[in-house]
Amino acid sequence: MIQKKICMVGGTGTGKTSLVRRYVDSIFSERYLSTVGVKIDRKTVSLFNVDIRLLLWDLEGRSKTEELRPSYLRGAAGVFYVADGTRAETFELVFDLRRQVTDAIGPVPSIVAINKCDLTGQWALGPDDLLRLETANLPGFQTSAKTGERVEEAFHWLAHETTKTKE
Amino acid sequence: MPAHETKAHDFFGLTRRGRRRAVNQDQFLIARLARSASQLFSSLTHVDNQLWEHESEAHLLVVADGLGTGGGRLASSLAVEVLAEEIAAAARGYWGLDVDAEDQLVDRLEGAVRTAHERIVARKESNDWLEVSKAASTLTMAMLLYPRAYVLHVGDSRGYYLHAGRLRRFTQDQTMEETLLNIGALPEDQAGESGLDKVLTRSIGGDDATPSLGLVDVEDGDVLLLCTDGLTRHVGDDAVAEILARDLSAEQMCNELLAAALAAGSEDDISIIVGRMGVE
Repeated sequence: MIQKKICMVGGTGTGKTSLVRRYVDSIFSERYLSTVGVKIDRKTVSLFNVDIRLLLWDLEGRSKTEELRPSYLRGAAGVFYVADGTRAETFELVFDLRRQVTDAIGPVPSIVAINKCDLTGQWALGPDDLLRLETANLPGFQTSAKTGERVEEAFHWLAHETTKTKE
Repeated sequence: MPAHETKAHDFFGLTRRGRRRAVNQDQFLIARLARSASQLFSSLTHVDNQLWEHESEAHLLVVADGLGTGGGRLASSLAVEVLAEEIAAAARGYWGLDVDAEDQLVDRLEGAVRTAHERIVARKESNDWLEVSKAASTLTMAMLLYPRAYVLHVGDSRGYYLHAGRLRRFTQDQTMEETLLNIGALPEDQAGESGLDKVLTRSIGGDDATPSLGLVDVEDGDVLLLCTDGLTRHVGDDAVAEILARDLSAEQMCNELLAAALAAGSEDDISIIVGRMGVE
């Protein structure tokens, strides 16, 4: 079975851990507990008749002034960026984080989950922002760890992309 | 020990029976997994051993025949140096770039927890223990392959590290109270009053022994702390951080933490392990 390491990267409180919990355990909690270091989860999926063991590395959230630790990124086959759709600054942070990731490990298949799409009344992003993702060649998915909307789809899309990359 | 052989860390651990306890049920272990690769003989004249000698289990046998006048010696020299550096790095444990090998390590650590759980369950079922029905244990472990600390955790013993003066906990208590807080069935302001913080949802030998897995990369000057709840139920994070931030040895830190717990009225068993990273 092939294994692929996926790193969850994003600002603090964007819902990285919640997305993993939703995807792996099908549960959601409103309670916020910040991640320290890296949490590791594994999930095996079958995509197009290929079994893939996903090693999900949930990295602690970063602020604007904190740099990612390159040591956590090494060997990643894909990066799952997470922004909070109700906080525009976390969306801006994705572009800086992507630069750091590319500096550390080069270009790898990536995706941006704009999370908390269930909070429609507080949404802080517009069509131009989605266009920026497209321009940056970053596929974007509006997700909700709370309702599960597009969560599995986003993980599976990225997992499939990693299988196209020659190691 | 020569400085280049290993990074020096200062570890200490202690355990103390609680006042109300007839027997200390805590255990602790600090073990050094010693492996080493070091140069015995070589034709190389300018090897910087610090680049590749390291703790690991490996024997490296290499011959190299330089080709080409002038550059041949340099080429073979470089080839052996780089090969030694690469292999020593790979043999350092699983610290490195190999995702599969690192995941195997995590699997093995997880498997060790599972085996411990199965042994306890088997003993309980064989009925050769007295009062076995509730026998179980918490377990919090950190395997340090410096600078990476792999952490496995079951129950409510805790792991922390102090970095740049800030104390951070890398375990979350696996208790009924935490479960109820997570699903919103218990208000945060009632935490600690329900008594459910002493009811474990996961334990070795219990109904669910699934460990939580994680890792953290530490740095020189950081301090690791693993401890049982005999400490943390009585000494708050601020007081713990204040002690770990002092210029003390690991042994002194353990004793200070123990004294703080006893002064605060802890009557439970207490076990404490402190590791100071990269000390001179």
